[in-house]
Amino acid sequence: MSLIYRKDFWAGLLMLLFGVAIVFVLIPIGVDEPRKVKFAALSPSYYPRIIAICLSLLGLVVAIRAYLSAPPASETSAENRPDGVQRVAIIFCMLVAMAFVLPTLGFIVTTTLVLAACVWYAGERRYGLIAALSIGIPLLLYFFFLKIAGIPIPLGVLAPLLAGV
Amino acid sequence: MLETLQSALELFASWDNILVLALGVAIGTFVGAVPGMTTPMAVALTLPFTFTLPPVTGILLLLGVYKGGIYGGSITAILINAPGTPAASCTVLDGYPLAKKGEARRALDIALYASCVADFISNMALILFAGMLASLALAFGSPEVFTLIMFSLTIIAGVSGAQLMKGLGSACLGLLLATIGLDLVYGTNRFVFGEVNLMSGLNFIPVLIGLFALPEIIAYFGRVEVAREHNPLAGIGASLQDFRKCLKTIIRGSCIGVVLGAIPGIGGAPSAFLSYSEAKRTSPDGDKFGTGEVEGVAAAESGNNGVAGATMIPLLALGIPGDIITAIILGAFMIHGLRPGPLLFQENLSLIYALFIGIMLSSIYLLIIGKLSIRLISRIADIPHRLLFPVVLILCVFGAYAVNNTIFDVMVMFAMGAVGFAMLKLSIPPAPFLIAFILGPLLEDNFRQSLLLSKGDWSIFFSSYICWFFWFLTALAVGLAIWRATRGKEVRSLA
Repeated sequence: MSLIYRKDFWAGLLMLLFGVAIVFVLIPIGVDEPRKVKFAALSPSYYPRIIAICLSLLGLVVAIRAYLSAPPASETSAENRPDGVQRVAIIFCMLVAMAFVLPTLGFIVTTTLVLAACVWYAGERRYGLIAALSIGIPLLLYFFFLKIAGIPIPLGVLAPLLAGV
Repeated sequence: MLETLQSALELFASWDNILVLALGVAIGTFVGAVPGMTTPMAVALTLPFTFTLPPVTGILLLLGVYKGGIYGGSITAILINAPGTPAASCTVLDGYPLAKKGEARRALDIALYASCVADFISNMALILFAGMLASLALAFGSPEVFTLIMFSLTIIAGVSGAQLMKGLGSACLGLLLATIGLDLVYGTNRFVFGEVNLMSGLNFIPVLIGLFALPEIIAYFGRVEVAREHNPLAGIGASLQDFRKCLKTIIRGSCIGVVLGAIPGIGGAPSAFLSYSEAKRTSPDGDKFGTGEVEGVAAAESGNNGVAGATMIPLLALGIPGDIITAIILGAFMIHGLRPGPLLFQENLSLIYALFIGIMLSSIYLLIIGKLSIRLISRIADIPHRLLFPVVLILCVFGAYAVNNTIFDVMVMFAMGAVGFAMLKLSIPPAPFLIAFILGPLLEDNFRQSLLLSKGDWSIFFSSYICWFFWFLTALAVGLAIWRATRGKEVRSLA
């Protein structure tokens, strides 16, 4: 199977498995059924069940079609970096870490660190520019949301410094 | 009528509205001009900034971004052979050859004039037809609305491209995600799993930003950064004679855009290509198309921009989004407690008229800002992605938080970013997901209300001429989509 059909096969398989998981696992444990339902169609699980079944059937069709399709030539995409998977994994880790520290460190400190790290990781080596961007943009957004939109942004560790500003 | 118009003028006539609309057009033109940034992404990122604005101001900001974005896509298409939006891909055919000949300024001018005229014609169509369609829709009950939404879901076929089956799967995922929260009829929990934040369902903005902005940013880190060719502005601008020569093509392209734009799911790209092929077929210089002909640029841009106002017709009159951007704008209406459709025309006509005034003004802004920005934007388009994408990431984080002032929404955005990235890698189109996610609650609500009325009898969905009409349209749209998909496959296999 070539890249495109392999992709389709996995996409179909995932859709099928997700649909089956919804019907047999998530609906039984995640949907609270009322004691008495007038008609089956009014049950809270009726509509999601229909959609999950449709999803499974579509997944099955996509996977079977991909499996039976003739493989064309191309295998890899020229625009991907050789270390692309590793780099994407690192960015994912950075986002997960960001989600964890955001409530504690606050938006300004977290986004400053993440912005500096991302710009550097993307290949920028002008450190003055990195510092200006990573400090300036979060501060600008913070003051925009606070002063213009009237939305308070959690300051975390900077609360003692900026709370009254 | 006059009273409504007067109150609409009062509603519109504030500096906030006038400035915000100009700002929206400028933001859209800028973002549309940056390759890699899309107009839906721009509208999505602007959305959180509208929460604290009055409804008219907020929606006008988004409309400005929409209109600017469509034009902005043509700037880099002409200058560096990289269309900023998919709809601008047709502009490349003659725009870039003109730039290579040293006539970039002439191409940009004609693109701007064609865009403005087409935008104006499209806006006029919106004003004339939206009200008429809305008055017809007043006769709709739950079964009719259900069949209407079923039909509107067929736009998924349009936004799925060559991936029809995966697009339908993507829509199923969106419909499933929309069921999270309290059940509409019994008020019991569905897929909440004890998380209080999930009881009111997922907010569509973190889902939207996660699906559309984050995957592109994540994918950027795994790609080789391609050095973009810079083509400085050159030559003299378009003359009045150029404009006169293209006027017929522009008007024809605008009309094509209006007709195709009013049909949900068609979008700007097919309209641009149809307008282009019609111009090539009828022009005395048709054989020069593709080698740098201003009429080719005018045809592509008028077809592309003619769609902008017309896609708002089904949105305002029936509450159906015609494409992904109008789906986002539908969400913006809902955030402000408004539900586009026939009732909005009855209960909030002055707001509709205020929007119409703003939309007309946006055509003038497009001309002014477009003219002023050509030189500046050709430089902005050179901002390297290594700076741009990380900044957009931070904007996403702030934007997602601002929805409900909760970090939970930031987490939802990250989770949807991961889902969106997986979809990108598996070539599953995300647009059907989002459209289904937005229309899902309405579909389920009317589905169950109808069955409640009929005591579980499914024949209620075939109980009126309107229902039959929409079933017919749905069958037609599905049939066309299947025919297009099979024909596309045949063409690919022949190639």
